[in-house]
Amino acid sequence: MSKLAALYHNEMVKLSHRMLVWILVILMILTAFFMPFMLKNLIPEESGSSYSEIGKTEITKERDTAKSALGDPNRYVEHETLRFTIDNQTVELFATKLNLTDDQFYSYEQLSCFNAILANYDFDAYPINGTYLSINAFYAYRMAFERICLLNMEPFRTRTNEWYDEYIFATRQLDLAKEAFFYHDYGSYLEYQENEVPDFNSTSISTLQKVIELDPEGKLSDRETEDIIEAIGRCEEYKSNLAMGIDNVDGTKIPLSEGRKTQIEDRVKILEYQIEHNCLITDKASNATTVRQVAQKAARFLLVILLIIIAGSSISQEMATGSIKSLIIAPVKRWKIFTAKLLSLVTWVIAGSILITLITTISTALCMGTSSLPPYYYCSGGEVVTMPNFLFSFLFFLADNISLFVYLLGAFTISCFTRNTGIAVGISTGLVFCNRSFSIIEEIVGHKRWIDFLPFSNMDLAGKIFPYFDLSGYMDAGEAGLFGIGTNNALSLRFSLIYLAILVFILLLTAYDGFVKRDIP
Amino acid sequence: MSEQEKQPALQIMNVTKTFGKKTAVDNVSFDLFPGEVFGFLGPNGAGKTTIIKMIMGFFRPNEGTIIINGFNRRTHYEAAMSSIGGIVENPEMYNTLSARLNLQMYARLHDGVTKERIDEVLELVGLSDRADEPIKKYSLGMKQRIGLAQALLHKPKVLILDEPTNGLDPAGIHLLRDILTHCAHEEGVAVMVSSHLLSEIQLMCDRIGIINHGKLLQICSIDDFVNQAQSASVYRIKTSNPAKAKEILSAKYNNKITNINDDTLDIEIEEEQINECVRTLVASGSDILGVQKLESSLEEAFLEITGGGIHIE
Repeated sequence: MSKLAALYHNEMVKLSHRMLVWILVILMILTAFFMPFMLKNLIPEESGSSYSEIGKTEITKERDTAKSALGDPNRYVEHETLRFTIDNQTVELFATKLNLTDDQFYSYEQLSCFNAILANYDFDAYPINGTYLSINAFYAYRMAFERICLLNMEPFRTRTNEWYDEYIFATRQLDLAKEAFFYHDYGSYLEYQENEVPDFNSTSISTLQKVIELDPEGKLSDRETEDIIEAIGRCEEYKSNLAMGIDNVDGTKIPLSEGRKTQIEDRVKILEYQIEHNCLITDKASNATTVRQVAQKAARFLLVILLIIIAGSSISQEMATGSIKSLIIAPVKRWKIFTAKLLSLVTWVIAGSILITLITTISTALCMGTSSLPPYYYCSGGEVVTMPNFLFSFLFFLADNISLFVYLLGAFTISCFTRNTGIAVGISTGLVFCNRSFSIIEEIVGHKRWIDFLPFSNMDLAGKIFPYFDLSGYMDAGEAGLFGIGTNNALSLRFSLIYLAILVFILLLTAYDGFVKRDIP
Repeated sequence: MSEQEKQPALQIMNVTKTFGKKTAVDNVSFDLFPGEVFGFLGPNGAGKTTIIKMIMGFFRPNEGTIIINGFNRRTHYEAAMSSIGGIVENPEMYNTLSARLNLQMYARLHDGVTKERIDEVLELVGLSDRADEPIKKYSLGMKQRIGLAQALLHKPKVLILDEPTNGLDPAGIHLLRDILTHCAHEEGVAVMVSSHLLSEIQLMCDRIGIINHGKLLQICSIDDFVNQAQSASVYRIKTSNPAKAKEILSAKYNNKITNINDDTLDIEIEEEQINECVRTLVASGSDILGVQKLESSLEEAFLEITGGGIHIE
């Protein structure tokens, strides 16, 4: 054992004296540190932020624009008093008709709506400050106003009973919308929405009820509420899929497998937990996570180059320079030399992962705020639990690097077998960086069983080990990285792990045979 | 010889190595004893380096056993290998690292090599003041010295050097010879040296082994080898009529006449026969203008043993 430790020590000493190692490590550190700062500037500003606050001034300004476009509004309005006799009683109805072109209509509606707001709205008590309620009730109020105006376009003679029914409905809706908007009253808003015919985009009533339950005062921002609504929507989709026994894989519906069933049930639990505890992944968190993930992968690019060179040259380089001699004549068995080299490679993968995760976390926290990185949510024993962000992102990254290690082992094996650094480094670099292009096979020939047995289909381990990464703001493991076809969700973690274990065993055996059994020329 | 009574430090027993269909080493056996310097001779491609590489663990023999310091290499690899040190072909180390670091790394793989021992061997090979330079700045001679330092570092029982004088200056050769002789004779190390300089072997070795075509042809002490080379000498007799002289001598020494020139005749006879030979010629009326003893060198003896005509390494 002490011989193995000594060999391992020597391997580390040798690597630490290679200029190339230091250059790449320094480049890697610099990339990991500065990348988040560069990426941060590329993130677009949050949309809808212009609506964060509307005051009296803005509405007055828009009102004035409409007013000047329209001129005197009174000249478009006709009034008439209609007299009916119902059950021998004379009923007088005062009616308004608008004589407007389409262009004028918008200005008129805006003018009268904003006038009504300016006359009656208490901006101080109920600021329109970007909460979901204030924005949506404002829209509802304008919609209701527009509907009344539209009804008023109908000429007197053609107004039927249906028209009157509709007019009464419109008036009631306007009252509800006014109540909701003027006094930020979620109850009235819900009632208003209940009366409306739901369209494709509208939030379902049950969802809205849940939102009101969580936020009865309507204090949550538009963004937060939208996130909740989306999460509730996802929960419902999952639940209905579970009920129907189908699985939605990238838009394609396939029968639900037993493994996916538990996973989807857990997803529902996590989402419900996140909704209830108001810890859904915000845009900011998902941006920060993305920034960090991209920086991690960019830094890893350099780590991969470094490690492929180390792995691909470890045996063949020593043979080429003859320095292997001092190892062969030393009283150590060859398998120990072999193992020490492999161990040093594993050390580099782990140390590199820790270093990159640590630096990118620090720099992301520096440029995007310490609170921006969410923990990992998962289910354990039916309970939703969290894993601290750093630990998760390190483990996720490490899991993503298991595939990297397989490639490195490939480089090592080729190096042992061919005893040629160029071939080893060349082939494995090609394979690593072309990994994702192999998904094209599936695109061309469609999904075939044999595709599952290609190494490339089994490299995306991070996404399988941490299946709820997206609920913590993570991009698809294959999205910005080197590995994983990404679409092959159908393969279970167990299948991929067994497959890779066999692959690793074969590679090790070949490398072992290439170095330990064969003669050293 | 007293060595014969000792337990051999290295035993090569019926070792055979084939590469494909070619047999590089064919059933070779020999022992190496503590305190002796053994010279290993053979032309290019004779199987010399193959044997050394098998001893040093680069090649696995197809057949046969290698026992180092009493340990079978196959079953007790590490114990066997810890008793051996050496240089195979050129000494090659990690070029970007300093000599000291190279030695430290090598020392880590052995038990009980102290920091002082590293300084000691550096001093021994005369590289103390340049030990912290990277190896790539070293000349070939310096590399040989540091290779020797590495080979001696763990005080091996068996020291195997493949052409160690290669690239050394005369001072270096002298130093090497001193070190090897000291190791063998004072410290009882079994030293095996292969060299292309027979004169070197002659100066350094106690015993030699000659190998060709993968077969060990002869093992003998250097004294025996020199005696054997000198026992039958060639004498050059200068006479006005060599053809006639040949006629006269062929009756008695028919097969011993090796060469005839315009005025000389070469004859291979024992020293005590020369008197009789000259007398015979004089008696039959030939004129003797001179008799010269041609020195039979080790090279010639060597060529003779290895079948001649082969360029000596």
